[in-house]
This record gives sequence, structure tokens and C-alpha cells, in this order.
Amino acid sequence: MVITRIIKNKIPALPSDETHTNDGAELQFYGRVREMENGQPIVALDYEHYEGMAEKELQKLGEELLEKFSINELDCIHRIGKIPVGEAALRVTIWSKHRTEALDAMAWFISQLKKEVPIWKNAVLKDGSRITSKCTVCDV
Amino acid sequence: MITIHTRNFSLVKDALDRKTMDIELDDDETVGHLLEKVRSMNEQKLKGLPIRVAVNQSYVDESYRLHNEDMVALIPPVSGG
Repeated sequence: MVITRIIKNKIPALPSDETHTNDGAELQFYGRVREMENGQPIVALDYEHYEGMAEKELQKLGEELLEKFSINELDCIHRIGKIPVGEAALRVTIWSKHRTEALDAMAWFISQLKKEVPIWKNAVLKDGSRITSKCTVCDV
Repeated sequence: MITIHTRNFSLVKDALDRKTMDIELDDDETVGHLLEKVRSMNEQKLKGLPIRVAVNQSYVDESYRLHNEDMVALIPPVSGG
């Protein structure tokens, strides 16, 4: 099963799920907003997304993950809007029979999310000004 | 002539200083032609910036032939997560 969503509110914690009796591995990742971005102190990251397409690409990626790796379930939430330092922008949980598949699947999923899903972040500084994230793959 | 509607995101939006555009193209022009036109609007700021294109919310390549009233997203490298 693949459950993905993009939300504007705070991401809730997901307690360990003891009903997954066939899964020996339950792996959870939180991506949190750091207090420094490109060497500058920030108060938040402001995420924008291409509504409609971002949801579609995230779900497609989740389904591809289940085809590619031997895992049983994925649950992913990406938060958008202004997210204060310390709070989570991303929560990914994967269940699989063994740990190796879950660890490999998690690394692949997050890496692909950062390439394919149309979501962008801007750093918000203390004075309220915003800096668009630098392009890490540009030729300039 | 055809008219396509763009949505400009992140670094593309910053470079063009516009969230949306309506662009006229000759019939049968491709995404590659559109990107040439877009880059000429601010060559300095768009130089070296990879731009992916989605038509009607699906990624397409530069050979994709555009149609009248297509909704085209100009997508610079994403930075979610």
C-alpha cells in the first residue's frame, strides 16, 4: 500500500504500528528544517509546490518504489508553506520484511523525491526577507 | 498561431519576474522552441539553469509538440524534502 500526501499543517508523529506482524522492519525518516541555510541563520523554510502535479508525482514515485524494492508499505507526508526551524518538512515511513530493503528503499525514495517532485524551498531570514534555494546542478 | 499558458516556478519565476505568461508560437512548435524563446527573455539570469517542462501536469521532453491552450509549467531544479 502507498499513502502519500502534501499538507499545509504540522506533520503529526506516527507511533510505531504493531499491526504489521509480517514486517520485521519499520523505518521512519523525518526531514527537519535546520537553523542554518547556506551559512546564514534562518527562521524558517517556505515551501511552494505545483499543486496537482506535485501530489501526482509523489504518489507515482511511491508506486514505483513498491515495484522496485521488496517492501510492503510506504507512508509519506510532505509539508508545504512556512515551516519554522526544528519542525519537519517530510515524514517517510517504510515497512518491509527485512531491514536492508527498507534502508535501500528509503535512500532511493528521498533521492528521487528531491529530483522529481515539483516542490521548492525558500529560506526565510530574521528580517522577513527570502532567499530562493541555490541551484546545485546549474552550470553557472 | 497557437497560444500556450505558462506557470513559472522558483528560479524561473525570479528570473522572469512573472508567475505566468501567455506565449504565442507558430503551429507545430515544440517544447525546445518554447525554451529558446523563454531563455531569450532573460539570457543572463537563465544561463546554465536547467529547465524541465510539464504539459498538463506531466513531464515532457524537448521534442514534444505543443498544442493551442496547453498549460505549460517551467520547472527549474526542485528542492523538496
